[in-house]
Amino acid sequence: MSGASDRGDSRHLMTSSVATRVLGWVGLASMAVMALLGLVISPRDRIQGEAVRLLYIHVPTIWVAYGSFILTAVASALYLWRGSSREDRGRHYDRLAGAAGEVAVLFLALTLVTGMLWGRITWGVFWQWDARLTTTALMFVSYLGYLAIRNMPAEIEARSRRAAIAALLAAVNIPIVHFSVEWWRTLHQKASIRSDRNSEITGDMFATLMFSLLAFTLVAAWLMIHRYRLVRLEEIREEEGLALAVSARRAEGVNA
Amino acid sequence: MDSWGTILLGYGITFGAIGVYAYSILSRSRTIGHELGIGVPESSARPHLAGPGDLDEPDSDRSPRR
Repeated sequence: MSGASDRGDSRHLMTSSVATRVLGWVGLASMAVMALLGLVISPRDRIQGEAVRLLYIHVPTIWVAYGSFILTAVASALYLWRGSSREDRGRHYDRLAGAAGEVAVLFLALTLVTGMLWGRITWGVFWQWDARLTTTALMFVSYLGYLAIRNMPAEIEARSRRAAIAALLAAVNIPIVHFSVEWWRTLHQKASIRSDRNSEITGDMFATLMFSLLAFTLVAAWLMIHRYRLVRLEEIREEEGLALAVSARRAEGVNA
Repeated sequence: MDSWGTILLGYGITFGAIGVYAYSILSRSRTIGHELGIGVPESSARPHLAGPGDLDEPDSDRSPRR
């Protein structure tokens, strides 16, 4: 899609629209309610005490990070598989992968930080080289590499292709991180919510966790939409800059 | 640090980081939007992106003063 045609539908280019404003305000309100539920209303845990309140931010951040990394992988696969046959040469898939990847890295960083703080309370140390923590740290580093590839100076299609391959390679680590607590003996506790109805969390605490998952998902969706539109604006600016440079060069040729 | 201090630090870092990231996205998009003249009133658009019609505006500051 050319810059000129993109300029034609300028309303779609703004990072803000009525729908995203509504989403943003609902997300913000949900986060406020979530903080109230997590810090004030939900009860203290019989074993973990007040420290359980970190669960309501720690679990949703990794939930959002997993979802966003999976979205990055799917968009990257679609870029490689169907990108060349599309009218926009797969730019949509590439932008989606980039936006989701960046949001995922932010939330994974928050997972690591909140996990370290929680570990300080329950284990007495910020960090242990156990399977869950180590694989999560590796995942964080691999996706930092993915973002670095996206920002490397290169021809846009070559850069997008390299980034898509890196995203697919990095995605291999997602199930390893998730199942690490089942596959190896770890200091990290097993999943709080399970599909076999043996969840370790119930009642008000379960409701608070579910609400937190919803609040973080809304905020992540808002961030992703805005980041996607920002990537699009950056591309148009790049194209306009190139077009200006070409026309200036042509004008020089005419005057010479 | 007691557990409440650590808990509040965790919430503060989480909300703070999300807020800073959201602000950086909005700020950058507003800057680029102004550069490209997208989504801003015509009068606020940068001069090099303004259409040629602006130069012929009778009430423009560029009009010769008597």
